[in-house]
Amino acid sequence: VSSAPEFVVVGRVNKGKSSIVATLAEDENVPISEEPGTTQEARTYSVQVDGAVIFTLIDTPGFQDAPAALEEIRKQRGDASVSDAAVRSFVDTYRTSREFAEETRLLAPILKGGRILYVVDGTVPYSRDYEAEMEILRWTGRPRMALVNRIGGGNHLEEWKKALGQYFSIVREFDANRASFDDRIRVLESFRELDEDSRASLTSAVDILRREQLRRRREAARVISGLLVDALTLRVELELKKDDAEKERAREALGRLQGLLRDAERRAHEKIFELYRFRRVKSADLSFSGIREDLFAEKTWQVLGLTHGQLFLAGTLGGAAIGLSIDVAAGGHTFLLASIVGGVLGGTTALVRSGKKLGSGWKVVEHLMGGDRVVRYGPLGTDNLPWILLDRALIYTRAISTRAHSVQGELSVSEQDSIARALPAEPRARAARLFSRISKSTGEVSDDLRSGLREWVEGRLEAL
Amino acid sequence: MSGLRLADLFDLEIQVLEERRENEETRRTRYRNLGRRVLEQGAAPEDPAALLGGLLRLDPQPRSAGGRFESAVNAFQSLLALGGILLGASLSLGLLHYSGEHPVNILNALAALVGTQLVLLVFLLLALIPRRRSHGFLRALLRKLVSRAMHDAATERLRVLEERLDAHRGLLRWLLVRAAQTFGVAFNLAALAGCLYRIVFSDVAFGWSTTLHLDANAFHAVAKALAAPWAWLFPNAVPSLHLVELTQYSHLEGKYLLRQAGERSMGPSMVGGWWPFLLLSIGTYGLLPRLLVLSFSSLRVRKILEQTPVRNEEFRRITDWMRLPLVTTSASESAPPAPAPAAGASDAEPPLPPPGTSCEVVLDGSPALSRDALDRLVRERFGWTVSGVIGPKEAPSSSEGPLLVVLSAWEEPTKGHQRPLQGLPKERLVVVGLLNSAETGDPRLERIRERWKRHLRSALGERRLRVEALGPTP
Repeated sequence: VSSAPEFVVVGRVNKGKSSIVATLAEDENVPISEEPGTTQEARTYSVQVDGAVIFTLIDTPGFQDAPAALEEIRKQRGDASVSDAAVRSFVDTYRTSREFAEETRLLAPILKGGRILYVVDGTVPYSRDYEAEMEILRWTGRPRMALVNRIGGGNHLEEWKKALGQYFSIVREFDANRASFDDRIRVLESFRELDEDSRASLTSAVDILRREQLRRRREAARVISGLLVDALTLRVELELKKDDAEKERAREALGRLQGLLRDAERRAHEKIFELYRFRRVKSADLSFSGIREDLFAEKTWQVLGLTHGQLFLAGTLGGAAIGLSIDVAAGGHTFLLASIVGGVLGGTTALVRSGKKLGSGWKVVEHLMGGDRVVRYGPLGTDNLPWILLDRALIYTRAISTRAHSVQGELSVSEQDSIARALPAEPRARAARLFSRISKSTGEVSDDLRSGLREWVEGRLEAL
Repeated sequence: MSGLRLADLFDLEIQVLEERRENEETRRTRYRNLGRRVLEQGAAPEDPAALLGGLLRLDPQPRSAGGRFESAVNAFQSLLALGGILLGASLSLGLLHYSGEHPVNILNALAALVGTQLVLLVFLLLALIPRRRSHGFLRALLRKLVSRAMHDAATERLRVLEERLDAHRGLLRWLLVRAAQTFGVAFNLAALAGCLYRIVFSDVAFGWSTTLHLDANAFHAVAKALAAPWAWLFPNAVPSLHLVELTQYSHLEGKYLLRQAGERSMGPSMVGGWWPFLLLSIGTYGLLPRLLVLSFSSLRVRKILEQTPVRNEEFRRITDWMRLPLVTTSASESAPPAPAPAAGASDAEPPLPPPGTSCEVVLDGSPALSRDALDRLVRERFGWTVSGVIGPKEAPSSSEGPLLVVLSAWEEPTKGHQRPLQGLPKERLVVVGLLNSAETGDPRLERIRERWKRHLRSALGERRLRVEALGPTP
C-alpha cells in the first residue's frame, strides 16, 4: 500500500483537472463544474484492488496567482539557487494564511511525495504567464508529466507542446471527456517510464486494469446474449375462457410480451451501465439520440436490425449450413441436396418473416394436463427482433464503454450507427443459426448455445 | 483441469437460483472475498472446477442438498440394478426350466432374452436424439425419489433444477441412460448366471417349434446370421443344420420331428447343443451393447461434470468474480457541495463613456498586443482613444477617464487577475475588456463574461466596474 504512487493533478482554474481525475479514476462522483473554483481543497481518490490502493489521484484547487507565488518563493530563498526547500519553505509560511491558500494546498501533496500531472487546455492560446506555474512545479523536483486537455474548439496544441516541452519530459494529449480506456492506460504507462520508483506498482496497476477491461467486455457480452436468449425463448400464455374472443386475448398477450421484452432490455442496459461503473446517473435518466425510440417503434425497425435482403441471406446461409452438416453426415451421397433444400427453406422462411415484428404470432393451445385452453404468443423465432435488440445493445454498450466518467449529461448515440447491418455475411449467418437453434430450445437453453452466443457477441464487442 | 461432483453441481445450481434476485455488486464482492480464500488454499486460478469445488468446501455442510440429490441418484441406480438382477435371474431360470415333458423352446428364450433387448436398444437410440424428452417413466421415477430425498424443496424449484441440469449438455438425460444401462447390464449378467445354473446343474433339453411355416433350413439361416459375430472365435457355438433339423419339436406330437414314436430322447449333446449359442447371443446382443452404452454414458456424465464449470456462463461469471481482483475507487471523504456562484452581478452597471473619450489601458502582456492593434481595437469597440498604456504594477495617472483593463476571455478569473485591479482608485470607472481567442462563436464566451462580472464584483466590492467583450484578438 505504501508504494502505491500518488498523482497530484494540478493546473490553472477550470482547465479540467477534476475531469481528468474523474476519467482516470473512473469515478463520476468527482465534483465537476463549469464554475471556476469548484475544487477548493485537495481531495484524494484512491483506485483500489481488493481494498489495497494501487494508485491515488489527488484533485487540487487551481493556481490562482502563480507569478506572485513564484516571486514570494524566490524572495524567501534569498538567492538564485532554487530547490524544493524553497517551495517547502513557501508552503510552511503560507499554510495558515488566506494569501496563496490555493497554491499551498496544491503544493503540499506534491512535497509529500506526489507525482505531478499538470493539466492545460490545448484549445486556448498559450501565454507566458503559465511559466510561473511550470517553474514552481519544476522546483519541487518531483516526476512530472503534462496533459493537454481539450475543452473548447480551438487548436493551440503545437504552441502548448513547445512550451511544455521545456518543463516536462513527457507531454501527452488527453481529452478528459473523450479518453478511451487505452488513452487512460497510456498515461499510466508514460508515467511508468518517467518514474523508476513507481514502475513496479504501475506495471501491476496497468495489468489489473487491462484484465478488468476484458472482464467487463465478457460480462457485457453475457448480459447481451442473456437478453437475446430471453427474447428468443420468451412466450406468454393467457388462459382462454369460454366466452373470451381469441383475437382479443391474443392482442393482450402480445401487449404483455412486448412489455416483458421492454423490461428485459431496460434491465440489460442498466446492467451494462453499472458494469462500466456508472452509478450516480441512472441509465433511465439519460436520453439517447438514436435509440431513444421505443423498441417496437416504426422508426426503430426501419433504421436498426437487418434489412430484408440481409435477413434473407442470413436465413439462406444458416439453412444451407444445417443442410451441409446432413450432407457431410451422409458422406456426400445426398449430392448436396440437403444443403440446397436447407438454404431454400431458410431463405424463404426468413423472407416471409422479415416483415413481421413478432415472429411466429399467436396460437391457441390446449394443455394436456388440466385441459386448459390458452392463447400462446411466442417464442418469437428468428425474425428481425433479435437483430434489433442486438443492434441497440451493441450501440448502447459502445456508447457506455467509451464514455468518460467526467462527462455530464446525455449519451451521444447516432441512429446511423446500426452495427448489425455492417456485419460481414459469415458472422451474420452464424448468429442466425444460433438464434434459430435457441428459439427451438425447449426448457432451459443449453450451455453450449449460451456460451456460443456469448462468444459471438464478445467478438462483436471486441470489434467495436 | 478437474471436474465437479454431481452433488457440487446441484449445490451450485441451488446457490445460483437463490441468488437470482440479489444485487450483482454485492454478489461480486462476496464471491471475490470467497475466491481469495479459495485461492489462498492453493486452488489454481485458471481451473474453474477447482475454484467452484473449493467454494463449496469453504463452509462444508454435512448433508447438503447436492449430497442428498447424489444419494437419490445412486439409490435409483442401485434399485434399477437390483431390479435387473431379479428380473434377469427369474426370467432365465423360468425360461430354461425343463420338467422333462417338453424341451425348452429356444425361440422363446431368444425372443425373451435377446429379442426384447434389441427392441429396447432401438428405443434407447431414439431417446438419445437431442431435444427429445425421453425416459418419461424413468424420469418420473427419479423425480419421485429426488422429491422424497429433498423433502424441503418445492416442486417448482425441483422442476427448474431439473431443467438446469439438462441444460448442461443433457446431463439428466445421460444420468437416466446410465441408470437404465445399469439395469440392462444387471439383467444380462443375471440372465447369463441363471442360464449357466440351469445348464450346469440340470439337464436342459432344447428344441424349437413354431406355428409359422419355418423350415429347418430357414431357421438355420437365421441362427447362423445371429451367430456371425462369434463364428470366427467359437465355431462350435454356431448351430449346424444337423442340430436344427434334429431339434425341431412338435408339441402336438410331443416329440422331436425326426424321432420315431416312443423314442424318448436323443443324445444329450444334441438336445443340449443350443446352450453355447444361447449364452453367446445373450452376451453379444444383450450384455455387450449395454456395457458399451453404460461405459459411454458414464464417460459422458463425467465429461459433462468436467466441462460444465468452463462451458456454463453463470459458473464462468462466478469464477471470473472469484479469481479477478475487485477494482474500486474511493474518495477520501464525501465531496463538499460545490460553492455557490458569487452573487449575481447587478444589472445597474455604470454607463459607458461616449465615443471620443480618452482612456488609459492596463495591459499585463498577456495577451500580447501591439500599440497599433490596441488603438484600433479600442476605437472600433468603444470609439475611444488610448491616452496611455501601463503595466499591472504601475500606478495610473490621475486623469478622470476610464481605465480599460485588457484580459483574456479564455482564462477564468483568478486572484492573480484581481491584483492589478485592487490598487486602482475606487472612484474611477474600470472597464474590464475581455479578448477572445481567435475562434469566434464559442458559446462559452458569454458565460465566461458573466463569471468575470460576478467574480470581480464579489472580489472588489462596490465600485464603478463594467465587464465588456472586446472581440477576437487582432
